Amino acid sequence: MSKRFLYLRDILSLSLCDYPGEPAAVLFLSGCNLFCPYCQNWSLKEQRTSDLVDVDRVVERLARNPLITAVKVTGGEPLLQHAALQELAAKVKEYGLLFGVDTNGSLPGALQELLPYVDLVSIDVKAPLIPERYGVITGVPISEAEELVAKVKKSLRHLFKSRVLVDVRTVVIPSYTSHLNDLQSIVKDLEELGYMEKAEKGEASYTLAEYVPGNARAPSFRSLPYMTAKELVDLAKKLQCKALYISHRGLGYRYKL
Amino acid sequence: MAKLEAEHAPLPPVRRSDGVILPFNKEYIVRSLIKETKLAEIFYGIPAMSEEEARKIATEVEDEIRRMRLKFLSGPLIRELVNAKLLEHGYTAYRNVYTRVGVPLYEMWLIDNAEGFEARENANLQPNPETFHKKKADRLSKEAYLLMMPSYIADAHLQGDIHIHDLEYWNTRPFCQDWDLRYFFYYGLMPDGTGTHTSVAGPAKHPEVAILHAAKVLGAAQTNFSGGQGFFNFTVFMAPYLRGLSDKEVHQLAQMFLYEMTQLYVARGGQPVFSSFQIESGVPKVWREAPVVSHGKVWRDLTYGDLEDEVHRFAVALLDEYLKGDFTGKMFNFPKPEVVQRRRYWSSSEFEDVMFKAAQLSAKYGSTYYDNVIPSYRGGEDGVSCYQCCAYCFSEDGKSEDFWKKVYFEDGAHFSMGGLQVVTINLPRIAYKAKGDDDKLLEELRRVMEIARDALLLKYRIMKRQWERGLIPFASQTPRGAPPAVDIDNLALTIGFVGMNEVAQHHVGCELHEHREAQKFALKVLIEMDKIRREFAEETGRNIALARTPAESAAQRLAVADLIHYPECARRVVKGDLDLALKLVGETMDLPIYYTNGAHVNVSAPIPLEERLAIEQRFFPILSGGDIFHVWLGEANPSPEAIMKLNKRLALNSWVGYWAHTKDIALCLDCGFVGGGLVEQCPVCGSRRLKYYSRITGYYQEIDSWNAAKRRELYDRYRIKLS
Repeated sequence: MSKRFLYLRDILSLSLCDYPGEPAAVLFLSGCNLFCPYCQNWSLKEQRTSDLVDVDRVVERLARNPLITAVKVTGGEPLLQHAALQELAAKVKEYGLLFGVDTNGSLPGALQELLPYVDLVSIDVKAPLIPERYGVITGVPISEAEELVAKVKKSLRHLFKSRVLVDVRTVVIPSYTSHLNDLQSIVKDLEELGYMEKAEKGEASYTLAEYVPGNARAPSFRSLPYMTAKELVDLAKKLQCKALYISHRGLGYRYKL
Repeated sequence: MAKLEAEHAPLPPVRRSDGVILPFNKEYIVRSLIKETKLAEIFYGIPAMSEEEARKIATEVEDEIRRMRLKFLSGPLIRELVNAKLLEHGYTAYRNVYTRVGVPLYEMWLIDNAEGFEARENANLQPNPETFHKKKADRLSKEAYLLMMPSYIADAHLQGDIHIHDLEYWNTRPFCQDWDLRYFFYYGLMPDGTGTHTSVAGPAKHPEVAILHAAKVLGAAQTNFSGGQGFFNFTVFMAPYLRGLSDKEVHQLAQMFLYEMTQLYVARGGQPVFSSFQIESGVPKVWREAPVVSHGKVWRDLTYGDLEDEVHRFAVALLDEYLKGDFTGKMFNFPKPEVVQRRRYWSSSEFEDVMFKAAQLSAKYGSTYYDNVIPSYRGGEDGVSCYQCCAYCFSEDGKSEDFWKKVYFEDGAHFSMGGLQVVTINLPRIAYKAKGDDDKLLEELRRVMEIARDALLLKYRIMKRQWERGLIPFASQTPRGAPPAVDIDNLALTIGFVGMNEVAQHHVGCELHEHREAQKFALKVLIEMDKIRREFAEETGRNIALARTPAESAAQRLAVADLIHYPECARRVVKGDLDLALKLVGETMDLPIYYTNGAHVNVSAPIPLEERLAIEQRFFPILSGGDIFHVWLGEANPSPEAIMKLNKRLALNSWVGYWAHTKDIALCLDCGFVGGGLVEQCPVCGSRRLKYYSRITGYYQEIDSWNAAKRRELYDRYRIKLS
């Protein structure tokens, strides 16, 4: 019997747009170490005792679902629970399911340990990798932002050296990350960290995601203007980047540029 | 003295409804009573009125008119007075056949203004001058046909024990048909069925003509039938015309067909033909060795098996054109593409392109329907079977001698699959009457099914009579000594039902998704229904089927009927917005409440898709007459690859014979964006001028034209992703 427990708020038993090309179950883990003002899932920030579930029960539930080919874990920050996650991933893979994880990149050590068990990692690069900018977008005090940026870079380096599929994501938030030079700065850093080699093997992509203002944690982020598909495409077209995708309701979940 | 005066007062002349004014003559009443009450003999087996009885009534009516000192008399008014007199003397049956059917003037006015009578009964009918005419005719016909059937059947319909579908066509039209295109490719086309009113075309010799003939077959058929028209094995039977054509030409033909089918705006009352067709990716086993029938001949040296490449390319071309949409980027909502699922299409990578494009189409517009012949109850590779129009299923199992004659087109033998009539059972009411008693429930179930059976057999007799007299000419055509196009004796008489979920809820105390007991109970009821159906079929020798009913209007009408007749019970189980319905009841019958269709799980049940599948797939093998599994997509942008993998799992590992992914679609009137979700603002240009489309029971239509119950159901649907 497993002694491992997960803080798991919710299971979406079938999603057709969370794991590229696979019908997948999505697990929403609770608990997060950042305070992003634009966060859509901020109700998952706190862990509740009622969220605790035995890993074996989760596995059992996933194994019973005849419709899925993959499992995607999101949150919250899933890697806060990397030990339990590792056990979950190992067991899920015994049933022939693919396993993917979302992360904010702040836990490179945990990520490194988990890599042998996963097939896909979606990692956020929330802003140019400069402490002042990263602090604002993650709600982290400037004193800690420098360390955070270093960790995100370390995570990216691990990922680009690994064998897993990597999708780097930036949510394009009007007036925060919607300037071309912001995105250019991110792409430049990605390239320095080894993105190109990985992308050339067809194992990495960079996705610009639509920002949906409605549910943001911080009220000031809820009233930001809305970016149409055309505006996002125009912006992306000016960006030189290999394997660039857009995720927008007007275009599709993975629109190849 | 007063009496004398009345007798001698002159009577005003009579304005007759045939457009003349004549002096009053009571002999007209006598003669018409004798003549018209003969209908009582035809409809109810009651002898017509004797002359003596008729004269007595006519005399009393004359006295009445004198007493009333009328200044004005008209034919309709005299008839009303005669009817009142007939009722006074207890001649109910005579009154039924002697009465006028009609429309209050106010109602006529409303109809011309796109309101009133059944303004939202059928979402495929858009208001236009043709529609208004149809509504009036429908209104008269419905009233008349209820009077023409035995009262126990009419009453069962009116009270809501059963729902007789397409009642306006009761005496005139069979229901639906999946046509065998080879018939027209061999004999040619005469849209009127006789060749006297329309020109007669020989068999198509050119690809464009073959496409046009196919479109016109369905258009002509729609004038003879009340329901959907389709082609089974469409890509296979078209293939001989595609030999030697480039991909571009094949695409052009595919596009032509889609435009023809959505622009022939001629079907009953100005609507596009309600149509569907099967898309085979390759040539099914049954047809591989069969001789090709096209260009007016049965080919001696060519079998369909030789044309697999053409079939495949045509399937791809059709899906490509669906994916493009029309000039404005809007989806083609007809004909419904039924993409056939076979093991071979999934095991060989050769057909991956068709399976992928089908999934892409689901992801983009939700238009694809998946016709899964893999489960054993569908007859597999040894029979012929198709799902069509409103998700009814028709099959022939390949065991008979006739079957192979049809495959080989011997003496013009061909397939004719379709339905003659559907009658839906109001299941929840049966539970209300049973009051928790199992035996009573089964007893009442049998009683209502017997009424449905009687209605269906009556319909069969009427259709047979019309058929033999040449009054359904497109269907009964026999060009150049051919066998009739439609096999009227073999069309399915379908018993449908709504509200299995609510029966369980009332009888067992929980809904299908809430407890295994409810599922077990539903299965028991279904097996019983199938047993009764089989008894009926054996007793009568007729093709009687059991199906889930699409119930676009029946799911609402029966729920509303029960809210009126069984308010205590119905309030506890009807779905939708009960509070609003209670406020509006009495004002309108278009209330936002409904029963769950067929044996489906409550659309708002917050359960994951795999659990819904586990429950609903068990009903498919019993519902051989048709069922559908809905996947309501909440996602704006589902991944086609993911949908394809999901389809593979449903096709190979489930019992589901028919499914569709329903995506709610917004159409931007400013930039033409078509996309997922009931969004308030266009995600491309930001406009707020949007129209919304979704799947209503079995086809896509604009949401504005839905009835209140179906609009509410759309709101209630539990989507697989909440975003």
